Amino acid sequence: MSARFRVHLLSINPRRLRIEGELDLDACDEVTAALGELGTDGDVMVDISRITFIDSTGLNLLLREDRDHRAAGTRFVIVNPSDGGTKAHGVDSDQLPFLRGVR
Amino acid sequence: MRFDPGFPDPVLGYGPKVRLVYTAGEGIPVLIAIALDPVAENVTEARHRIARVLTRDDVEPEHCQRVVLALSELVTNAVLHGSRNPIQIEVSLDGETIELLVAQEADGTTMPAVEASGLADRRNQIGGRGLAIVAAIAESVAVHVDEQRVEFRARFSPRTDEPTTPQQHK
Repeated sequence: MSARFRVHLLSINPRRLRIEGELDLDACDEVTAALGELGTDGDVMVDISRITFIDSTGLNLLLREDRDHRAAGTRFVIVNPSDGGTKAHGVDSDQLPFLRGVR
Repeated sequence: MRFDPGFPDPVLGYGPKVRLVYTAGEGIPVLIAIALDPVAENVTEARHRIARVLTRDDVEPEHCQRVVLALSELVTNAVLHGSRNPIQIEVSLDGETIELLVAQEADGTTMPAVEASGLADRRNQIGGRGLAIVAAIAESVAVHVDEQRVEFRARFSPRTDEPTTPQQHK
């Protein structure tokens, strides 16, 4: 596991995961695998309060999870977004409208 | 400009997958130029190295963050869609304006993939937004594509937005 990000399984029921560090291409496979293990047949909450960086690869990962959960009739919930995300980049939702798809 | 192919930069160092091409000499506005193998871990590596240089040169954090985000998007694009040739990264400082260059040569079998439409807004898709983000946060973006090379140049000036003080109008 890269020292630049970590994935913590916080609980199985409810399904809660915490991602820490930098969510980019290098982290994508491992985070995707961790989310895949949780599945889409139930609600999943992902705590991103300790994310220090996220780019479009990370955002796309979250959006795909959201899409897959919607298709399965469950919820994918992002909790505790931090300033390490888009605010730190000086980007707001007017510039990146697709961010509104993340809930 | 000083070629420095043989030993690590005292500030940056370099690992086996990052090759220092040259560093700027006195009076030359190029802050750093490096070449990286097109692998996922070098997306992170590139960000850290460029951020260290910008921080060393006292670039404002918000200014630095926009450059680093654009760098992440452009290097990711090269890793995912480009050739197997090294990704060339160069950061120049023109006054307070930072110019970021990310380029890659074709390798004869795979043309670095760039869609000009990547700069367009594609709100209904997941993926393919990296270049749109760069266009949104940069002052300007220039893309040069030919059979041998793909090159992005993005310029970033410090934001001059005045802080809002809504209470002063009461």
